[in-house]
Amino acid sequence: MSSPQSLSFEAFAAMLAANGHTPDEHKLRSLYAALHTIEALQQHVRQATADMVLEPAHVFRQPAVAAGQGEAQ
Amino acid sequence: MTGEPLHFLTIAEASDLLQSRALSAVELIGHMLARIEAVDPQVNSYLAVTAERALDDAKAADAALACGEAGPLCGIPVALKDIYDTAGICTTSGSHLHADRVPTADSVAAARLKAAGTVLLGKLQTHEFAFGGPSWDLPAPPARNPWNTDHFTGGSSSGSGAATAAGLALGTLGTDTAGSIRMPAFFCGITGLKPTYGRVSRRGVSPLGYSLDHCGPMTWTARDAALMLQALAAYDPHDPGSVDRPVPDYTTALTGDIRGLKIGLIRHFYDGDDEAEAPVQQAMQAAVETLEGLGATVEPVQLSPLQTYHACNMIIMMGEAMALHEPHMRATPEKYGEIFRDRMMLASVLTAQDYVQAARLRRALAAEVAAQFAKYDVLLTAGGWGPAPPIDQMSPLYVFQRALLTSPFNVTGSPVASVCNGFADSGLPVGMQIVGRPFDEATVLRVADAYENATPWRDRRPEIA
Repeated sequence: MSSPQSLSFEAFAAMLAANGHTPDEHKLRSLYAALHTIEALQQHVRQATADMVLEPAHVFRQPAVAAGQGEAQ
Repeated sequence: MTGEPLHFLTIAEASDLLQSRALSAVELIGHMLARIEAVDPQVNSYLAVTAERALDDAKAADAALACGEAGPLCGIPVALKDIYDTAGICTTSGSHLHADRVPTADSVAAARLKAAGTVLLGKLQTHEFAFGGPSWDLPAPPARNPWNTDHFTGGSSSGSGAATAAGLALGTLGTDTAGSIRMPAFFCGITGLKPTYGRVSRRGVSPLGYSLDHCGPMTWTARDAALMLQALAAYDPHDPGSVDRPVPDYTTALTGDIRGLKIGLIRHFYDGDDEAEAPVQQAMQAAVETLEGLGATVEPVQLSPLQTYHACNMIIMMGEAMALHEPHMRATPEKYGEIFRDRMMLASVLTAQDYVQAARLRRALAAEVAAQFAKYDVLLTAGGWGPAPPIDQMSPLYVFQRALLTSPFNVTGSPVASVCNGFADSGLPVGMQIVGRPFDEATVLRVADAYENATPWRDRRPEIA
């Protein structure tokens, strides 16, 4: 299974470098060939979250309130 | 005594023998250590065997048993995936990065098993940091499937699956972020229980994806999983994910009676969204008929596509894993195995937006599954695509290439048991997943136990010797 990647090879190399990864050319090319697998994951998530009011599963909660020790106590 | 060799006793059987003093813990542990020495070189399930400590602990267990004060796990030989911290015992996470790391305190799960009187046989093989494997460039070679040592065990709790199936421990602990308890359970033909997120403390266990990581038992039967969960389940105020909920008596829930239970079958995950191999399809059909024969009602349910759940799981897991490992990968990349490094490098194209989108999607997917439990007591689906593949044919990037049937229930945090439901013509096992309401491990185990007792699969063992 393969499909065209949206990132150019150069942009891919730059993203890896920005994260501290500097593989050799052979490794970089083999990873680039597998990039479509990650882009497919991204597409699934982006297509499925069009509802703008949907909040993340883990939202911030005040620690004291979460522990049942809020102001009312 | 039962007719089984000691190493193939279930925990429940061994417990009965120990409690009645028909068997001593020293005798049992001595037998298990000899079995490990003889058999483990074929399956590579142990990274370290703690023989001296095990024999000392066995003597202490016999003393407690003699006083009549011992619980059901006293004297039971167990082993832990080597990402559970153990005080004074090297805990490597299967990585050169932690090759010499000796924790000063036990993980909560290890401490609770110790307090229950279990005897630690040693530390078990794991994919690197519960993610990178099977690899040949780590401190030890990968574990092998006891049903056929040319084949994969599944990961990442690879040693836990292999040791439990091969009779090298009566119970083990694994961890599960995308299926790492349930995939080895599926491939090795054992019972793997991923409890509800928040049920078992993760403190002292090397994290992979903070919001997806679960700790749980891997055993031969659902009854044994219930016995281990009883010791493990507890609120831990120092684990931010832990939830303070009552812990029921899991073994009394194993009534064998599932008449009237409503089961939702998520068939489209393995027959529609993607196609499982024939042995899995056939085993699932037969399992549905068995459960109906036991008096349950089985109806199809429709959820979002499996690939949507998997993408949500993978993006959250990779985001959290990269946040955790980035500083070490920058400083000492050579201390990681190639598979771990490659997966992390590839996933570094993921953005903060991807992570937040996945977290938003997670809320919707969790609600979708929760809604099914208004109508159904448990959900049922396949545990994997087919029997264990040859280990040398595993793609290093397999976790990105095909959706895992296990990953949806890390997204939802649901309790799930992976149960053996048959064997392919090759002799390799296959299995299914039984999914419950949050914190309702009791019903999951009740269905799993009833199914195991109604089928012959628990009578078959690997012929490794």
